[in-house]
Amino acid sequence: MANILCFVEQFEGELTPSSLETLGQARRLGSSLGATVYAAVALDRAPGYGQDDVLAKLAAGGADKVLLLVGESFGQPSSTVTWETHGPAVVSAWEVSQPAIMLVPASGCGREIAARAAARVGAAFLHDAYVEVHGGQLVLAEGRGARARRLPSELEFPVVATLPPGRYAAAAGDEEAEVEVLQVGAVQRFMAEAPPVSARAPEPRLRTSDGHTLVELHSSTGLLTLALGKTAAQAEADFAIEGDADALLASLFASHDRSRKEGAR
Amino acid sequence: MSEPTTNPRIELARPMIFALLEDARDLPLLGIAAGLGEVVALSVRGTSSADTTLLDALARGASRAVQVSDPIFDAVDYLAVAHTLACAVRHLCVPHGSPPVVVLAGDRGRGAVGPAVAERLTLPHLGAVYGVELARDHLLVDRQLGASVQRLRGTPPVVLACVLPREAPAPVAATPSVELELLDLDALHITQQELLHRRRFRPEPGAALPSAPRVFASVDRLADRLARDGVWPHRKSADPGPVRE
Repeated sequence: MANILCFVEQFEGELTPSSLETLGQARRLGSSLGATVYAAVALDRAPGYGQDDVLAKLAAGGADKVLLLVGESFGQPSSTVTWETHGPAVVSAWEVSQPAIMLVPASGCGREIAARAAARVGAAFLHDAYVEVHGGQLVLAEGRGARARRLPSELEFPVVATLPPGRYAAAAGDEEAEVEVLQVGAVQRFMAEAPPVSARAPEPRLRTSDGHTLVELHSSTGLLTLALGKTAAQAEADFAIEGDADALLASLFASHDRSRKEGAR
Repeated sequence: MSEPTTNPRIELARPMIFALLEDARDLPLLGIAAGLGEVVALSVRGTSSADTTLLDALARGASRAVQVSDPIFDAVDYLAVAHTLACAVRHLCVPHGSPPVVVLAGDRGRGAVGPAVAERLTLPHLGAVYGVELARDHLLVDRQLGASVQRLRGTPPVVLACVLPREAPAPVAATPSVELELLDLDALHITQQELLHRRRFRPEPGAALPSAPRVFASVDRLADRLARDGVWPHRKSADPGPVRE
């Protein structure tokens, strides 16, 4: 296999945990399949001397090559990420790396750009994906239980896949990475931000599975499923918290409400 | 969606609204579309699937319901479906000149069709949309970002991938007064050969991979982790407690 491209994102100036997990899985795939791992990150300016924290983290996180997608428009708050703002940068990264697989964290940003990038290049698309190597064979799958789907392991076409938070571990290393800077031209902003509406985080929603409570956290990644306590329902969950389910539930709603108020200030 | 230049004398022509319905779970799109303009419910179907989603859409406020049918849709991937939907949108707009168009798609599960339709129509798109309002000379779009809602304004054309409310609007008519319109690939100037190669891009049912959740020792620890991903309400960094991952 030739190359794997991993699009990573920052939130409030830090690489997100989901991005580092996605990069970590790209590293494991790259090592198993002999592929070069590219990490692409959008920045408003290339890091100066002594400001290479992002580069060091991406190298340690598994990147063989880092594509710095530099454009002034990326200085905007991450809340304005759309295909219009980041699409040209993603396309530039694709053209340079010519990947067989592109991995994107299933974050809000990921949802904005992954499917559209797949459509742009005519790639297959996997959401909520498992991208692993078993017995030397690449396994490309999505979904759980009866909704599980798979692509052929012999890749004859590029694949874009979004990986949910928490599915894979980040990698830890001390390698160095080559760095390439790609200047991204001025982006035409198609939308203007209107005066904000009151912050309103959707409440966590409850559902049961075989008598066990599962919480659906409606985040901008889509639904994240949370299991409370050690139950058989954990196989359906992205995250689990150990402890008494009722106490955890009360704490979860309290935490959500407290955090929402803090965020609104 | 183009950034508007506000002019009090200009009113936005009523846009033509397309609601892309994959199945009955997308019917809540009609609630989001309500009040925006004439709604055309649009769906593609393989011959093996028969459902009443489009008739339900007519009963719930859609002005027209159009189905593109061909056996090939049982076997092709999101991009073949999106290409067909994009051709159908163009086809249906022709008699109306060049109306401003708002395409609504469901942003659930894979959520790939909406962005792919936008790509094929070369239109901007937005995901995680919660609500749309038609103001005098522009659209107001609310989209979820982490724990808050961002409001954007602009003018059509645009494709909006919507986070669906739980409930579809209640039926307003027991029996729809208009009939389902059927289109085939010929009407859209698409050949089966154009779509056929997308068969191998379609994931097929297969054994699920074993899955185990990431385990956290406390709610605070999980909330902290999700906040750093930007997908949960921002919180001041109180000590989140021990982690077990």
